[in-house]
Amino acid sequence: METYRHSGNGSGDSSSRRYQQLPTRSADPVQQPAVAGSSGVRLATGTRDPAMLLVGPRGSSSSSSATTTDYSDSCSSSDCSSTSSWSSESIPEWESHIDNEGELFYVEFCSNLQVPTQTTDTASRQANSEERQEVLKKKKKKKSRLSRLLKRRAVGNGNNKGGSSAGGNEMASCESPGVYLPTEAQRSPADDWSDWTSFTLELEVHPTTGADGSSLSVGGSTGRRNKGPNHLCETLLGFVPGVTQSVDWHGEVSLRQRVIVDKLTPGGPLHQGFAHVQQGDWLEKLNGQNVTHRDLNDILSSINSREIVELNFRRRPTSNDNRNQEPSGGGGGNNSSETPAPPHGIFLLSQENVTEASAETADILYQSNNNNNNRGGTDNGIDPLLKWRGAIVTLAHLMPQLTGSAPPSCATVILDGMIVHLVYIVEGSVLFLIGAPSIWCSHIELQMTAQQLASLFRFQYGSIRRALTEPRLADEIRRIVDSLFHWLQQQGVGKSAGNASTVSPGGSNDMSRPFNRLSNYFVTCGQWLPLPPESHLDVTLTLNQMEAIDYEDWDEELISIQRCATISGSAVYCQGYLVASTMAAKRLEEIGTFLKWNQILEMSHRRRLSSLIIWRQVFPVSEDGHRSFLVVVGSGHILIVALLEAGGVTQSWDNYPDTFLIEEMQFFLQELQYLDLETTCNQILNGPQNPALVTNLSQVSESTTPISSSPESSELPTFRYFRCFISRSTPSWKLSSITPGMRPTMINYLSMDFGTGVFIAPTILNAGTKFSEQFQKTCLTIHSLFQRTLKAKMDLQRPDWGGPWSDKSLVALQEVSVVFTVTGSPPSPSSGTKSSTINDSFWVTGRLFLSPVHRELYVCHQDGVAQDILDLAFHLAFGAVL
Amino acid sequence: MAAYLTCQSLSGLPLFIRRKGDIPSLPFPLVASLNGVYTYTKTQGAELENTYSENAFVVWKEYHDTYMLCIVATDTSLSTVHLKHILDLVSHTMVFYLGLEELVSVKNIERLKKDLKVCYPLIDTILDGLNPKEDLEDFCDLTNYTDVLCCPERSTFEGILNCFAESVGTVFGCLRVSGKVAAATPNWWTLDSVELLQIQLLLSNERYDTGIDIPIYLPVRSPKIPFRLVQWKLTQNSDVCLLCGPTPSLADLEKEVKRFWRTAFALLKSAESCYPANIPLDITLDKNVLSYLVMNAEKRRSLSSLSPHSSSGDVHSHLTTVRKRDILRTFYKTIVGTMINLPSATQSSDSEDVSHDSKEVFMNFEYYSLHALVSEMYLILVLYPSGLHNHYLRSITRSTLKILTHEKNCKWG
Repeated sequence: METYRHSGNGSGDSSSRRYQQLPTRSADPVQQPAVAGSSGVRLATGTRDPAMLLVGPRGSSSSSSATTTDYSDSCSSSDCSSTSSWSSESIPEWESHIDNEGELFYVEFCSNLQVPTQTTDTASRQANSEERQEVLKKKKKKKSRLSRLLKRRAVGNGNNKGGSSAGGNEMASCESPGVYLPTEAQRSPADDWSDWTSFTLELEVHPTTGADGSSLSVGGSTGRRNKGPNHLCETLLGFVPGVTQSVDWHGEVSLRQRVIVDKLTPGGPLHQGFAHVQQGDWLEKLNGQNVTHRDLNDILSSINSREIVELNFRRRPTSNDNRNQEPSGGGGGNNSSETPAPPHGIFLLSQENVTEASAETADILYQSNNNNNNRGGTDNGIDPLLKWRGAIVTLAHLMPQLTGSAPPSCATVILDGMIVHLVYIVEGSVLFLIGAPSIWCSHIELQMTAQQLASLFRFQYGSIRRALTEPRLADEIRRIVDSLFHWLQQQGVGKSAGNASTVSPGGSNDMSRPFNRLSNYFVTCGQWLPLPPESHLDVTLTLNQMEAIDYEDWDEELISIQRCATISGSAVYCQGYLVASTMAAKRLEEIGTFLKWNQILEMSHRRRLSSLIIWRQVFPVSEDGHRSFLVVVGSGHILIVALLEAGGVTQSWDNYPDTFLIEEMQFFLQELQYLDLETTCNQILNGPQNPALVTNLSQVSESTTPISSSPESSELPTFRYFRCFISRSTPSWKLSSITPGMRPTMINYLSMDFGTGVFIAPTILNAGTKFSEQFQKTCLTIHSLFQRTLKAKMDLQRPDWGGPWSDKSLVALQEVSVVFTVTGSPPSPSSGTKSSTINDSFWVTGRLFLSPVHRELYVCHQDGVAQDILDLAFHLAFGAVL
Repeated sequence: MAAYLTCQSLSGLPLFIRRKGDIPSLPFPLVASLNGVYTYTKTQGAELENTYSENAFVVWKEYHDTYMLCIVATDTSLSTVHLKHILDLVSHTMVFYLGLEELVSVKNIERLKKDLKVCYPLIDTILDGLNPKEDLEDFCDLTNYTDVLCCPERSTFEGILNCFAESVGTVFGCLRVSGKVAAATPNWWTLDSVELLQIQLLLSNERYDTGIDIPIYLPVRSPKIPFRLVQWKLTQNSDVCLLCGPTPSLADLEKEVKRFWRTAFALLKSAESCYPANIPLDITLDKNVLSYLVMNAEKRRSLSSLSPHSSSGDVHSHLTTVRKRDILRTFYKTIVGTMINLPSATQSSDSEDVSHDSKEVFMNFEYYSLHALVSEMYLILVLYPSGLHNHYLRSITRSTLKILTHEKNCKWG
């Protein structure tokens, strides 16, 4: 508390002065025609329109179990009943969710997914100007808010200590939100059906195209309605409705009309991801409206556009705690009805303190035992993969002695007739293992996954050992592990089915998303979306200002208030793409991994956030003893990520989130939205002036040259990913107009670089076609060749070069090209008849660059591309670094 | 490049240990652990396949339910296919020398250990395949295909050879020039490629002045009844070899050899001049082809040359033949099975990757370029100097392949 000193009002002047430091704000009259007046305070585009808030205390007063009520359960109701960050209450509502470890995970969605178009932007901008006065008021009140906030902090701390256990549990359950974020099942004692737990689910429905734009529904809207009464429910909501079997309910809805989940549609929206809906659940409300079997279709057919519906389900309690059932229901998905999952899991073994007298499983510190308990032949709860763990441990000791090298990185065994890969990661005295069958992923893929997982654990929890052994983290870890194996399994299913797109409509296989398989391996920082120079300048300026701002700047009278921590770096993600960063590449990689594995990027991409605040301690590599914290503040589709470092010149740290800093970051977030960042990104991604679809090469070089602020300091290889399609001589190139005479020359980039990933262009490839699979596989293969080259080069530097175990055969490798043939019509989702005209030979060319920094670049192009165009493609990547 | 190879019976007794390269001998506890992890895993219902660290692979494999081979090696390939292939070769060698019977029904393990010593030279040669000696120019140990030499006298040789084989009462005979098969009886090609390979390796390994006459077991065709492998030197660089039964005697055979091959001396000398290009002198390849390897997957033969330009046309001489050979071998090991597949999928690789649709692979190094191309039943690997565009290389490769496979004077497959 003593770090803040309250002074009186008078902040309005200083804040407006700060605004004038932003050059573009007043220099862009087109963007902001309403700009006038002295203060120039602007709001973000329409994120706070109350009409869009369906979930939340104000938006849905009727739904007692909506998202925020769940959170508010952990604090006294008086605190949060009417708070929102807009009201002039002193405590923002999220602050009550800070757990007793001083960590915060708070997320609130806007209820409607906006397809951001120009019109909505103008509309929201108008809304902004109406709200402007309110904002001005708010800004003036900020000082008083600060003072009250400081007062409340003591209260908040006390509150949290009082209800620490409950708060901690709630927080843990809110970690790692999925695509569909179900709020936790919660009892509502005032209800008639008090033994039924209710939970709320938000689902994005697409009446015309099916879930998420992929063509799920076969026949368009007219055809759909002819397909029986339940069809709409099956298509939109993904379950077959049935009538209830139970008899002892008394409610306003008559018994026979209740909508019960009879069967989940395989591959439907409720059948995957984190939807916890089970057979037998009762759909009580839809968008807060009571639903009966009779009017379900009417309600559903009234949904005409892509929107997010809120589903209230109720579930009969089981004898066990519901939450223990989640892994099988959510992560395991379809395991119950099918054959048991092949052996897989994550394990942590240690030989420390294990003696002859120890229990048999004393050396197992952690095993992700999901689904394996049910398998026959599992003795003592030991995973089948661990039954021969003696051999694993022996190998870990043996390999260094044999070859004088590092411990083993991967082993392959045949278990039950199935090839299973086991990846080793040794951390101190513990052995971290991750196993997965070869039908899910190759050993190269598994190794990359394991490395990412290990670095995530280290970043998020300090060490793998702490992550996997600390009981407090068990819930979080379980979620991560579940989603990991769920994802791997989906990949495997997709691979064996030959068409991955059928597995998850619009899911993780979609190449157009930044979360597809390839980027999961390569792009650790997030894919880089190059902004137009002026936008990029704005965003970077905003970031710089945010980093530089101290409370002293805020008001002259606040002399001694300092930040508790310095911002050591920050980054902006928009729509899930990295757009600006001031962070070192290594840090960015860690943060990207964190955001990706916690699905925050995906969440911000798919859902419009009303507010997202994450504050947690993190453990970056090679930190000099200072505590570090990660702050993520999100709104709309924009995320600001900042890495804080406590200690040093800053004041002593009191184990509590710097709420004021969070509010500052929220403010800068609003500035970014004011800068129309989302619109800019959308234009790049979807707009007609897409730089990826260009008509001649000169435009390519102009428009696809990404502006990169990649720091030069890094030696670490990280990756840049983008793709671009270059078409020759067709002025307006569309896929439907491909002719033999004017073939597009397709070029697909994967540049593995330091710092960032770059994405240009929407996909033209069908998601999950053999083509993209081949591209991915080839890139992985070439990448592992390059790894050997790099290793050989590094060996060259070592004094014992030329030792018996060194391999120098690939030391001078520079470029690898692979030509592969895809049968069928790879890049033509629309032109079935013309597919034969497309040359179906493709080249994947990978080049390894060692100077000035290590970089790998992969280009995929059609057969017959002239060498100069290919070279130009490589040059493009080099233009990327300024 | 280094390797350990251990062999132990499944009952747990070590049979032999070989090592390759400048590495210390393997202490017994390590050998025991190495074998122990496999055995232990097996008792727990799983089978350990391989383990690798950043620079070494360990591969275990079990043979005939009696013994297990384990190799620890540095390997450039991306999969363990080639190491497994080496283990297969070693196992075949053991059968080749001792016969399956003796290996399977072991009565005296000490005796077996002693008997196995006869295999050591050949096993060492196979391990040498990881890092071959200077004078090895063949690729057979890597590819499993028979190295052939293409000479214009081939049909004449075949006629002589057939008559010769008939006169000594066998159907298996071949003529080797410079260590490569220049002609063979039709039945010779019916031998399994493993057997051909073993014979080839044995003949290359045993360098006697006059010839050899030893009993061998054919691992596939006759693993229990031995054949006689007889070889005579005809000239300094060419020899003829036969597989035959106990008769006729060596003396009788020698007479027949003289009778048939005395007249062919001039032809042999002329055929030897094809070496080292290994193709008739009147066929010229593109100047940029530094060396090549063509494999016929249907007939399981391969034609290769490390210095294809017999005249002084080799402008890019900064690479020695040994270096070229190592480059080609590395290239082969790197791509086959992982990025490219042999045309007729005869090598049913047990690797996890299901489909390799690639038909061509380029690898561009600082000082040279490599190109592999699959066309019909052929796989061709060519080494080029650096600085040429891939498209150019592509056309050279295609024309080279055409010359080597369709030219009238160039019949080898």
